[in-house]
Amino acid sequence: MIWRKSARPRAALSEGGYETWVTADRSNTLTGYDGGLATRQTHLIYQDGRLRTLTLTEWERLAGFPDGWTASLPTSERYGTLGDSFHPGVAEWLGGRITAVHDGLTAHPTLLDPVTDPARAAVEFDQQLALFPV
Amino acid sequence: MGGPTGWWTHDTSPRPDDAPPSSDPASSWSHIVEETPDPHGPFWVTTEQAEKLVPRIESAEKVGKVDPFLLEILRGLTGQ
Repeated sequence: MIWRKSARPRAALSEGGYETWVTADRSNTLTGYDGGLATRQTHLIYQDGRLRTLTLTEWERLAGFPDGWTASLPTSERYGTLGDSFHPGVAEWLGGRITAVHDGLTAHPTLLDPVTDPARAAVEFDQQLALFPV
Repeated sequence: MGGPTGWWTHDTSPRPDDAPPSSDPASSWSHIVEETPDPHGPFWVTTEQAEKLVPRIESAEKVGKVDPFLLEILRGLTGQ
């Protein structure tokens, strides 16, 4: 069974603050701040009759890296490095989107042309801005 | 959704959250959690840590969101 902290206290517990833990249908975002001892981490796992928090290997898996990817670093730096990392899966997706846009531009070569008709370019710019109303 | 020209958002490109989590094995806890972690690893909750965690877990009683099983486990660790 796995829990994750779902709300951090907004005030000291003695002043009415509270934090909540829920069954983890998903993980929290990992940050270096939440690494280390169980009292800092935001996940708890009940396994084989014992309670623990995430291992560094599990941090690596959640961050999208192979097991032992950060093993050469001191323990405290491993949490910070993984917490600061950008998930390779997201990077791959973004790269795919950039490639797709590039391919789209290739399929519409006129979009790569220098602006030869400022009036038309202004109209197209306004059309695109209109998609993001403030 | 596409722009006026239809090229810049690529209607056919999937978004990361298109697929439900259950359809992606790599995102399930069973692929994340170690089955046999080091029994002496520092990640196991100690009595001292449990004593600090209990009041934090209990604090959710103020809003009726305390997890009784988690609280029971932690209290068991502290000998309460």
